[in-house]
Amino acid sequence: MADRMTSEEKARLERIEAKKAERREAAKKFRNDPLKITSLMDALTIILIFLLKSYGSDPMQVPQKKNELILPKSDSMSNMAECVDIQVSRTSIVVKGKAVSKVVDGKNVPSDELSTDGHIIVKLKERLEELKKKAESAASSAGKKFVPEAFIAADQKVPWKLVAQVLYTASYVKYKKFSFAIVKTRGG
Amino acid sequence: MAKKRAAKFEVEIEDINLMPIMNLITLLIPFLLLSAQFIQIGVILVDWQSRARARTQKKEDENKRTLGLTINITSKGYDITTKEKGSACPSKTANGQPCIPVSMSGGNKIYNRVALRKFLYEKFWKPNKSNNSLEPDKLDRNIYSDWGKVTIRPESTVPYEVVIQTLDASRELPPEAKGDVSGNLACVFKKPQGQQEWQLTGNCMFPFAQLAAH
Repeated sequence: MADRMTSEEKARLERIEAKKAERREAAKKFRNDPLKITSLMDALTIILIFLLKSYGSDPMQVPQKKNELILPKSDSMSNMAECVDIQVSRTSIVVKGKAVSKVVDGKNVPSDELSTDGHIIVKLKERLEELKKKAESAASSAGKKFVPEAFIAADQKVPWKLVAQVLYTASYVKYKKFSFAIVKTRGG
Repeated sequence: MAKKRAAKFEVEIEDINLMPIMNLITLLIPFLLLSAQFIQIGVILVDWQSRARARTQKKEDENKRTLGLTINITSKGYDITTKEKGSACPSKTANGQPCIPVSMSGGNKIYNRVALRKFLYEKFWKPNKSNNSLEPDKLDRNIYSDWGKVTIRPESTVPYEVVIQTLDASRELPPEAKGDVSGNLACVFKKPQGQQEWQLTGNCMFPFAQLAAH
């Protein structure tokens, strides 16, 4: 019985020794081999390509900010196209990245920035005229017909009066077509 | 001599050091993730009815039969009128009420766009759809020369969000219309690449919206 136990013990000890040796070998191998990062590199490259693609797919970006510019949600499935963009937030009116007018209390343009009849935002009119002239000369040099089209990204909470003033000003400068930016609630 | 030559070509091949590229990619990914937009931005096409244009339109429409559908968004709710018959809900108008009144929820006014869509569908689109079409080759057979057009006239204090909801309600058909049209109920404006004009696709109710000051 004692002999059998000893041989069993021996076998067990051998197994343990073999396992230890295996572990030592693995640890040695790990120390000698550098970290394999090729698969990680593959994954990161795919993510990078995807992000770069989504970054460049939109013709125009609308940076949304809490309490300033949150676009309304809509069922519309129409996509946007390149044109003059006017952002109407609760604090300012921005045309092609340049602020042209302030918005007071999230609803009014200061009266000194309006025309005498109260419909036209003077600085917005000047900026739109300048951009229209540039676009017209660029279109004529390219041999294309210029279609005055404006893209309006307004905050969902601003009163209609403010958007109407922007539309009135743009139509005064002969912008004929308008598209309102919305956040799509369904794909397409 | 031969030994020397052999030694000259013994070059130890090492793995490419990917760490600098890894560093660059790891920096680029958070930057792109922060600047990427995961929401989809779309557009709604509208026309602006200036006073001068409204006068010209009126003169043009005098000799033609027009529906003249107008949605007035007031602080009380949606009031719908047509050029032909005046108020779309005469009994309510007689009592000084709008066609679709607002409801109050948590101190906020709720404009019922679902009811508006259903109202426009049942009152104007469904009874007239057989005699009117938005397809370009059938336009000359339309009873109403302004079929598909709607004028939206919001009060100055109405939030912009409500105007967008009204545009949605007048453009898209309600689920009840599934049996009336083939295909899905989406109404989409598309601008084919290289073209300057928008094209209308899908099934629409009144997609040509004209906004006007109240």
